[in-house]
Amino acid sequence: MSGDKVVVEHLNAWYGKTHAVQDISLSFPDKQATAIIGPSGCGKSTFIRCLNRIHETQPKARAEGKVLLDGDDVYQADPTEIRRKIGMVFQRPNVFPTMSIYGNVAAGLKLHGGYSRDEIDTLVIESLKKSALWDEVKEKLDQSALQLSGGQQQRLCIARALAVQPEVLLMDEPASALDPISTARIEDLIFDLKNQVPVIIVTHNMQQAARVADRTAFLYLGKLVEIAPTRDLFERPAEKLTESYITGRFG
Amino acid sequence: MPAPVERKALSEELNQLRENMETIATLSVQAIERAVAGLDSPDTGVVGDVGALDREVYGLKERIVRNCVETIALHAPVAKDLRTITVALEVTTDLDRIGRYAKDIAESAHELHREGDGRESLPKLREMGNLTVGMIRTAVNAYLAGDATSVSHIHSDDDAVDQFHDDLFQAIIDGMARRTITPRTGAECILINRYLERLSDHAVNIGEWVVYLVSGERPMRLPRRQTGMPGTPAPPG
Ligand SMILES: Nc1ncnc2c1ncn2[C@@H]1O[C@H](COP(=O)(O)OP(=O)(O)O)[C@@H](O)[C@H]1O
Ligand SMILES: [Mg+2]
Repeated sequence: MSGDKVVVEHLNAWYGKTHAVQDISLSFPDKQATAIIGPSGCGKSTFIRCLNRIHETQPKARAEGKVLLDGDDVYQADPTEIRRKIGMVFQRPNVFPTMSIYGNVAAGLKLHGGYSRDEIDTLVIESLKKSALWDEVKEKLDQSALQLSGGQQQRLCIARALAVQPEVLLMDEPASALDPISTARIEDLIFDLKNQVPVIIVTHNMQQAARVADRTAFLYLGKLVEIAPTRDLFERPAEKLTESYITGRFG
Repeated sequence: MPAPVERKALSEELNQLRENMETIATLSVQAIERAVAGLDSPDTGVVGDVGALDREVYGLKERIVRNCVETIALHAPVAKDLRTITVALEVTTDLDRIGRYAKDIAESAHELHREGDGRESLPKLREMGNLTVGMIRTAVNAYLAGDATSVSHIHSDDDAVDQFHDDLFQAIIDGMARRTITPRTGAECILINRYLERLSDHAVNIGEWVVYLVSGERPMRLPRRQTGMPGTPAPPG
């Protein structure tokens, strides 16, 4: 047993003929945030979408290789169950516009089923507290989620992801559409959350990777170039390509 | 690899830093060369010249530190860019100390020449000074060239300077005991002896920072040398 929560072995992913992820092997330990950086189109989103089997839901998309969650092969399990265990937060807060604040957080629980009303109440409140939104919304849980600011909406989506008690949290550029204060709030949240679940965050903001992640992986043209403790990667990257990218010397 | 990006604003800051580092390095090397040369013969110009160089070094150091802090604040440099800046800050501190010790040596030498005795120590101090100046030049050139190969001997040179220091210290004490040198002369000689020993430590520092700049490997600082006076027991550990 390696002690790693998620282990990825020789992962490959395609969209039709586009080979978007090429033979990536990586593991993610518990209680750590890992950032995935790299230029646009290098396969960051595709990579994390393979971890919870969202990738395969797109047309012509397929994946090969192994993803292990606590040693069990994700691709041998029920995909719906995997998507509950490995939660995901997207770049644009995807709130459900017709639902209340409460309804948005409860949505995942209702989707997966098997929760009593009381359980749902408890989990909604807990998740809103964990996502640091509770104090701002506790008086208006039944109001529309659309009245919330962008940053609040994103924290609402994080609450929804947390409500189903995931074992891993994936975040795809969760702060790239947010102002600096909202961004800082999300980063603080990641800092707290990683002690409960491993967080894997895709970001094109290098300073954000430096601020939130214990380890950083650099992807380029679908391949893993380097993964290292964040402190080492930004002070003395091992690979020339990483050096050029993080110093902003190529576009 | 996609087309390179220049990062013009950051590059301009780094070019400016490079120019300032060349200047401050040249000035502090000049200061210590002039001060050590002053050990040979009385020259009333040395104290003033070295003092002026030291003031320049100090002023430039203040400017370099300010610019480095601004560059960090504005450009959040990483990797080699970051090491370039942190190493410049470290090396600037060493160069500033070198300028300051140069001034101290010039002043002590001036006193020595006025006293007129104790000539027996001067050739040895001069020899030690040449070694120290050589180390500083090597380290500074390696820094400016961004090439760590020439600093590989610097630790053994430092050991030689330390040996000089210990021997000379004993000789000066003996001279004072035999009353062949006055307490005043002895004190000045002991000071110069110590300044030179410290100067070679600064050369070693610069050499180690060059290694870090080039390779990213942080200097493996040896425990500080036991600098207890000869004859006193070294602290335990
Ligand atoms: N739905 C899709 N259909 C076809 N190609 C896609 C699709 N999504 C991404 N790609 C391609 O896959 C590669 C990786 O994309 P992506 O994983 O989104 O990169 P990143 O998240 O690093 O910007 C790119 O070449 C992109 O054009
Ligand atoms: Mg993406």
